[in-house]
Amino acid sequence: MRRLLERSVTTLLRAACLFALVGLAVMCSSLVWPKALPVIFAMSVGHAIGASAFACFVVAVIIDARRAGGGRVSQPPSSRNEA
Amino acid sequence: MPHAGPWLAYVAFGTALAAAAILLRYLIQRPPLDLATKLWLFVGLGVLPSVAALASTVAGMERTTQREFCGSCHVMTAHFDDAVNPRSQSLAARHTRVPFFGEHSCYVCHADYGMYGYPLTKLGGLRHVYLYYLGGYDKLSLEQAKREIHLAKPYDNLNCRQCHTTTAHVWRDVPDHRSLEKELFSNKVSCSSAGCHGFAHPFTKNLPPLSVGKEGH
Repeated sequence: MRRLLERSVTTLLRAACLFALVGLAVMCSSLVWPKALPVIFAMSVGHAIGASAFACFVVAVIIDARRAGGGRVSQPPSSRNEA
Repeated sequence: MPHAGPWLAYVAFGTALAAAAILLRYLIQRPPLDLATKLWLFVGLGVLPSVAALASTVAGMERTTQREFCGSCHVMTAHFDDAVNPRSQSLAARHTRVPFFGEHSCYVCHADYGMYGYPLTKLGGLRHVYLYYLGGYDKLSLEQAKREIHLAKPYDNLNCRQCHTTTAHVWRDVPDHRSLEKELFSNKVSCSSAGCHGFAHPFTKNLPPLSVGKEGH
């Protein structure tokens, strides 16, 4: 269970980063191609992807804080194996 | 009427690039999730994308008020070309040449000027997008579009009166204005009609049929 939680934090954060990169790309695309569909797509789908990215980050931080008990620094599984 | 400059687009690009740099660094380097990393991720996932989203939204909304945006759908090509034609004497073209209208001439004339005018205008724009992509307008030829696309409701003279005040002597001294005042205020008579100031887009009026109808009329 602990390993699962550790992995879920890492996975959630990586997913958040990827979601955010996609969302930012969609939002910026509407500035490069200011046509009707890109603008609408950016203001709806782009914002939804960005919001879900931030939600993933918040969930990851909450899981990490509950698991660590407030004081410990969590390591991603890969770096822990190396240590 | 918003007139945000292109600097908002630069703000959106700048904050998006900064956020992307933070996120890519995390994805590539995979640092331990300590407080500093969490704060960096908060900036990269929360603060900077929020600024980018806000700036890109305002810049995008501003862009939707520009004439090039309205003319980006092919069914508006004739309207766009006439508006920017320096030789055209249509009401739309003459107004487009006024600096106040400038790049926003479609929006200035067709915007709703009520209390909730801006969002209502944008909702109307969404309806246009719906009609274009799902209502079959994208399949219309330009000649068909000139005949089949019309305003959803009669043009409100109040939009003309945003600039052309009806209280100045220059307006009230015109006998037709005085005699038709009630009709003008109640939109029973349009300022942009054939007997008055002419159609805004005259090339869409009184067009001959494209071809002989299948029903024989």
